[in-house]
Amino acid sequence: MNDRRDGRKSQTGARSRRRGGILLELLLAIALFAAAASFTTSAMRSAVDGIRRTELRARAFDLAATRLAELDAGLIAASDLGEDRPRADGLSVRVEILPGAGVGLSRARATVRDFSDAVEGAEPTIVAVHERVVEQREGVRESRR
Amino acid sequence: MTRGFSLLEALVGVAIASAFLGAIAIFTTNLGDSRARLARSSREIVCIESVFGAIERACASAVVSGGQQGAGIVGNETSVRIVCSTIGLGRDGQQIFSELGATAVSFDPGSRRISLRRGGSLDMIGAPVREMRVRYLAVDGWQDAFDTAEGAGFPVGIEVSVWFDRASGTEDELPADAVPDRSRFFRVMGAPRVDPLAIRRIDREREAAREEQR
Repeated sequence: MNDRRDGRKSQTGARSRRRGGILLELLLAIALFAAAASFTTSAMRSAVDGIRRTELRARAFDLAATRLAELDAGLIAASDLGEDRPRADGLSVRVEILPGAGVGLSRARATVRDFSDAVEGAEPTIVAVHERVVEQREGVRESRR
Repeated sequence: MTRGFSLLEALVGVAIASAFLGAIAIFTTNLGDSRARLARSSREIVCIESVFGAIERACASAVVSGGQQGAGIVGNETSVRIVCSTIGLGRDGQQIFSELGATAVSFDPGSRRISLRRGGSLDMIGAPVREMRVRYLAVDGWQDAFDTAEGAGFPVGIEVSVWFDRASGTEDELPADAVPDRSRFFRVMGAPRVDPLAIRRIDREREAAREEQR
């Protein structure tokens, strides 16, 4: 009689151990999935951020190259040299004339800064710096910083 | 006899399984979207850099008259062709300097693709483009078309703006004030500068365009 009771108890214990095991396995699987998902998501997010930064740098380079080409073409007057107002995408370009390119030539430098995520009081990030030698003429002289 | 699951256990199991499947579905969808965005962005960057690079190189060595190659710079709103000096290979692989070649960039609205022709090679740019607009800055202002053969010499510079096709299937026309995804102004080497008297008018036009955008 006692043996039969003992046998029943051991069967119930084994079943509960098995069900506990199934729950543990499920929890383990969820934890592993969550860890893998968070790792993959963070990797993908950093890749998307990287490509967003690359796009921003490409647009910043377009802006810098355009502004220096406009300067060389005579579209920008000396009074326009300096910091532009930030555009809709938050980029702003500053053009300055530097010495040292040779007789009759000047070195023009365009620095593009990103105001889109700039914290108040902090300096905005420089996203592109582009230099070009331009012919020195009336209106294009070395700028003072 | 083994006891089955109770209703409550079954419901909890179904709830956990649904939540799990929902999480997997959201995760895979987000992953797919991010992957597609990454692929599209990198393709756009590579494609437009090749177009801008080709135009910049051609503008740096453009020639007014190229004999059999035709006139120096010819173009309209959707295409531009620049004859420029290149370096060719002669007999025994020797370099031939000052050989002339032509670089042509044109946009086909039908296929929504930009084609880039350099010498004998033709490349169809992979990224779909909604619109490409080319403008020419002459000494007295902006023009929508330019032809060196009409005695105009070189334009001061060329502006190329590109809007990528990011929502495929949209047939509606691009708004006039739409900001381009990529835009660059190229200075043509050896070209004259803008007439100082025309600058004020050009500035006024630019300000008017900015006001329209706002």
